[in-house]
Amino acid sequence: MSELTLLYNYLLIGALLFAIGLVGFLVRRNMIVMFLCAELMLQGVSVSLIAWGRFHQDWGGQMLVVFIITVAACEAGVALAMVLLLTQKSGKLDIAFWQELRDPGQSRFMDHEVPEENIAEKVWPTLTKAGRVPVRNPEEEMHRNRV
Amino acid sequence: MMTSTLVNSLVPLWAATPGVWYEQPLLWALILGVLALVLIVPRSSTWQRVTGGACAILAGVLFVVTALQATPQSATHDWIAISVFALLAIVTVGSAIAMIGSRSAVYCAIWFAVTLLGTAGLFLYQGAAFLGVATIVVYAGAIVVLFLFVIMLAQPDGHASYDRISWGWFAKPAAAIAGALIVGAVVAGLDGFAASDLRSQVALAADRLAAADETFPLSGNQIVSATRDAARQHTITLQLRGADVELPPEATAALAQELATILAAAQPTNDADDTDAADTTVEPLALVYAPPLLIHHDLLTEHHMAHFGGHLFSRHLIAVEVAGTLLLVSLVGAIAMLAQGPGGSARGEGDAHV
Amino acid sequence: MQDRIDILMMLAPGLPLLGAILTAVLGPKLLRSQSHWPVIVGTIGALICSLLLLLHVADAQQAADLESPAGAAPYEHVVKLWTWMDIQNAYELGGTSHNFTIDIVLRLDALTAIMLCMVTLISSLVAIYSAGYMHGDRGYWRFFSYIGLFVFSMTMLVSASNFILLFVFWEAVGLCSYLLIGYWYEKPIAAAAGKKAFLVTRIGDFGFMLGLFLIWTTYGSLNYHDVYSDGAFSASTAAADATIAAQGVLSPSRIVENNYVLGGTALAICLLLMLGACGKSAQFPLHVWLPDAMEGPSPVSALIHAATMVTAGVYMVARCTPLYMASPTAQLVVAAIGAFTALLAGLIALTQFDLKRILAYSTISQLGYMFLGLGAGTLAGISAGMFHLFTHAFFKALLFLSAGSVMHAMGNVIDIRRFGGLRKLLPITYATFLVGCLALSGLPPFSGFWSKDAAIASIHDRVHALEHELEHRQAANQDEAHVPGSAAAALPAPLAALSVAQLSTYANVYQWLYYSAMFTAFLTAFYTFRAFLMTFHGELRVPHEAGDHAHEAPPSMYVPLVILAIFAAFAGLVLALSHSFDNFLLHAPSLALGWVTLTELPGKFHASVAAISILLALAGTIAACYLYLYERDQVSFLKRFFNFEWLNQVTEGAFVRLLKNWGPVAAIHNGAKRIGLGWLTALVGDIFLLLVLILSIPLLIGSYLSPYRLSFRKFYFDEIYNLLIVRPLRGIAQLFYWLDRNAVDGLVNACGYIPTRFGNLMRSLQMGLMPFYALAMVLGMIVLLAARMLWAN
Repeated sequence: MSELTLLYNYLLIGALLFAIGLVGFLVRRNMIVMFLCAELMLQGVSVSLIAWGRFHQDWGGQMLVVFIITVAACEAGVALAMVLLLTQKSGKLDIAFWQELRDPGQSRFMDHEVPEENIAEKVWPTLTKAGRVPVRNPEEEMHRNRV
Repeated sequence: MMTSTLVNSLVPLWAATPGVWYEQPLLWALILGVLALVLIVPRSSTWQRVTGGACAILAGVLFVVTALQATPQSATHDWIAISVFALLAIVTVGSAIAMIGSRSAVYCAIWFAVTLLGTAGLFLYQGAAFLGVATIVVYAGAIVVLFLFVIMLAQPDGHASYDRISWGWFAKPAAAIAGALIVGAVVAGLDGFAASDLRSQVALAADRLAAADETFPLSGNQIVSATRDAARQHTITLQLRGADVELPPEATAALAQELATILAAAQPTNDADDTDAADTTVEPLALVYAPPLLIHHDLLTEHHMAHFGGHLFSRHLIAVEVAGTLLLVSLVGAIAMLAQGPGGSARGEGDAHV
Repeated sequence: MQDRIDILMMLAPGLPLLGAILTAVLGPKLLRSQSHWPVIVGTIGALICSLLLLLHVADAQQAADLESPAGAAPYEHVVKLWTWMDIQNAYELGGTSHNFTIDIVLRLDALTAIMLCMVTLISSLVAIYSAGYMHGDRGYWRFFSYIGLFVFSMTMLVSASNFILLFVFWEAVGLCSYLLIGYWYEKPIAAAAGKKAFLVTRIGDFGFMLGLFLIWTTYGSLNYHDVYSDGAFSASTAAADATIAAQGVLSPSRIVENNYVLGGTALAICLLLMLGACGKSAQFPLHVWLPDAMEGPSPVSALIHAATMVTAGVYMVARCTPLYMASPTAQLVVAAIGAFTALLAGLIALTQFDLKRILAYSTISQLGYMFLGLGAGTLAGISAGMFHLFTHAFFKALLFLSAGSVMHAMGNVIDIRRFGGLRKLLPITYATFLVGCLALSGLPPFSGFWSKDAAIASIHDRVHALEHELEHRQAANQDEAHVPGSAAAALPAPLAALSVAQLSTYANVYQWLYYSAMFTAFLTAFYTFRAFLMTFHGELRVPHEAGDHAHEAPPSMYVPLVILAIFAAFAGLVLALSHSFDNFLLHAPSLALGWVTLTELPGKFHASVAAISILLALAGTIAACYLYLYERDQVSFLKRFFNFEWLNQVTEGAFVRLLKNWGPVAAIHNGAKRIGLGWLTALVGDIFLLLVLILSIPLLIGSYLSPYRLSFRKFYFDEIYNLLIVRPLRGIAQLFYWLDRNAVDGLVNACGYIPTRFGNLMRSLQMGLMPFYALAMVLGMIVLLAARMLWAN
């Protein structure tokens, strides 16, 4: 591929990643998923930067990406700490729980149709039976209520 | 009328197909992409996800068509390289779509890791070896794992109702259209870039000559830069990658001839004034050669890591220090926040669900 | 000398104003129950100034008479304080442009001097009286500051030397009247009376204003006086070569030339001014506010609504005599309104039971006499009107203050049915009231007789003068208007210009006005003594509101009464016999020059007229004494008779039944029965009953219009006005209120509603959801991006 084609293709990929990350960030309500989407947007930017660096024979693109990774790491640290705090306060990762910024007199945003949870989604993976049956420890089972 | 003008100006394709707006594959790719995203982001019904997936595949195909159209004509096609790139691109974008579409946060994180792998591949494909590895190690290895831990801490159930819905009837379409507009803007911003980029024209000329004649000593990728001389408009200075850069005079002449043809072909589409066009036809092009690219400026040298480190710790030393400080501060900040504890009950007013 | 006069002229209104301001500023906190002092001192100071001015005018007039022995020489003196407004070349009239210059100018002439003295004298006495009467009232200081303001306004009104200033203080006295009628504003009826007075007089003021506009467009000036080119006002001080820059409307120079428009314009000006005078002086048809105005405190009734403010109309018409001389029709209208109002008010007063209202109607009636005199259009008539104004001020103030004294003793009860025989209880008040009544009834030698008789006599003379002119014309066989100055008696040109038919009509009308005035004299005596006798004679009756301590008023109240009583008793006699009032008054520029000098001079005593009016007044007095002195049954008989109760008896079914049992009818009926024709007589009886019932319907309606009822309900004026004016206006107001509420406000509210709704729409965007804000940000960014890409080049 020629350099120009390479640039075009990478820019398209970068834009797509950015756009998908954007959509995810705007649409998803799980704070961690939103956060992942933000990281995805950063990836899209990184891809574009790498492509431009290659096209212009400049190290600046790669240098920027290094710092992007660094900042993303910092961001992950701080933001995850904040997410944990919020989760401890609200008991859930839902961003829609926090609506304190709304105008006085505005009614609170409510979900009106929460889709039913699909039974198929509740099927958890199981191990194939092999060897002997382990000795059941009822106390331990009390604590292991979730797989 | 107005709408079509708007769309035509917003969605011009970067090379081949001048025409009315509804003939542009990119437009349909974007529309399909919007549809796909709207259908794929979390909902309960399976057939919607399937339809969304199909839309996404169709949009992908259209994007490929667009990309192929965009590829300059008669360039040499290295099919292996193209398919490697295509594989990486499909993995990256597909897993990204899967990431925003999965209902479980854990799956999200895993799909994100896959995206990161694809990105790393793309980085490697571009010759950014260190970054590719660093992405895998730092991102996929550390950050995503951190995410997974946090998800398990914060959401031990593994599934929640708010992961299956969005927050308003208009959120999904609006967001998807916004994303599509951004992609369209990027693509539209590339319009005319090829025509105005002299280096690409020279590379195209070289590639055409190389395709016609096996013995032609220059490929397009070897040209690092091409600049028109400010004083003498018909003198173009070329900088080539490699040690022996002087082309034989006949090869230079052939290249100049080919370049002139390409520029002349591009001229009518260019909206430059007539005097300029007259000048180009009257005076023949002259190609001169700049000194070759210094080794440590070359991104594709075999001493990639050494030059990368050299650049990072010489020119960007202060930035590195600042970044290090930032890391430390964020570390301290995160610890301080969590050490303080939740500090009271939730200030939210209750569940967002009815 | 001149400076001293100027200062006195400024002090006369200035001192009461100063007193009013002092009272208003210091009254509520500092003076409290001593709030009357600034005003009393101020008004007495003004009285002294006025008396000095009067003496000065008398001296000056004597000096002027010596210089020009032929006739009364006019005297006037004008002081300019400052220029209020000055618009150059405001109006083009007859080729010359006139400046609209309104100066604050005070004038001094005979008319002003008399009015000043009268006003300040009555004001001083009333202020002293009020100090006792209003003692302990919550708004004591407020009352006195209003009184001070009123005295200032009234003195300015009579001192003003241009029409604008006159109008300003005309309104100012109206304002004071409003404030003082509604002085006890907690009483809804008092507040309503104040409003009514203000609004009704406003109608007159509107006409007055139109009159002023017409004067301005006709004469190009609103000053009374001339303005000379060197800026001076008075010919006496002007240099010999000074020329008149702007001729005043009522200036001697204009009057002596008789430089007045005639015909329709003159009539319009006069009638519009008369409308203003009707409003202010409570003449028909704007008389309805004055009786209600009696809700104010009694001193206010005495001062404003009897002696001073209500006479402002009379003063104004007298002042404008030259204008009225230009239109005999207007004079006739003035006289007719005066006579009609006098009769109307006299009839109403016959049946009223509210002592103050009776006096209010008598005021209206007496004001009617004044207008009658003015309407006679002769010097005799005008001076009689002014003389009546002067004497009436004393005896009516006396009557009102005495009534106030009665109210004071009776615990604010004013209904004459509820008390009686008070002569032992209130001896001083009894005496003063009696003097007032005698004066009001027009019995000699009390002052009312002289002035009222002069007014009636002037009408009599007027009739004679017109008839004389008619005879003269018939003798000369001249049907058309003849040139004045011919062999006939000199007549003012406007009058001489009338045709024979018009003259005979005028003579007839004046004749009827004369009869009416005579009848009113009888009524006056009757209702005056009715009120007096019901109050002071008969059995001693005291309402329970008075408690056990009904007593004579304190000295601060009865001293003014006594002083007023002396004036009421003797002022007329002294002034009429010495002719000093007439001689003094006729030096006023308005009366000393021009057409009016061609008319009948005052001073002629008509023994026949006087005898008739004395006889009528005596008859009225005797009738009242007969009916009310010992509370005879005839009173109720007369009441029933005039109430047409005999009509009701005729129309009752019981009367028919009575008829049936009546001897002859019963005999016929029985006889018919016996011969088997009983059904026939019964049928006849039934038909008769039916006829009676049918007839009774108009008779019942007629009984509502019985004389007694008409009088008692004040001829239904309030009801008619309510029906014809108030209701439709209220309906229109309701309509506009509705339109304003719904159409105009609706539009405005819609203008406010749209942004509110839009704002609410935008407010709903602030839903507090973080992702929404992010989305908004992204969309905004895209808009910016699109704008950049679309309009970059």
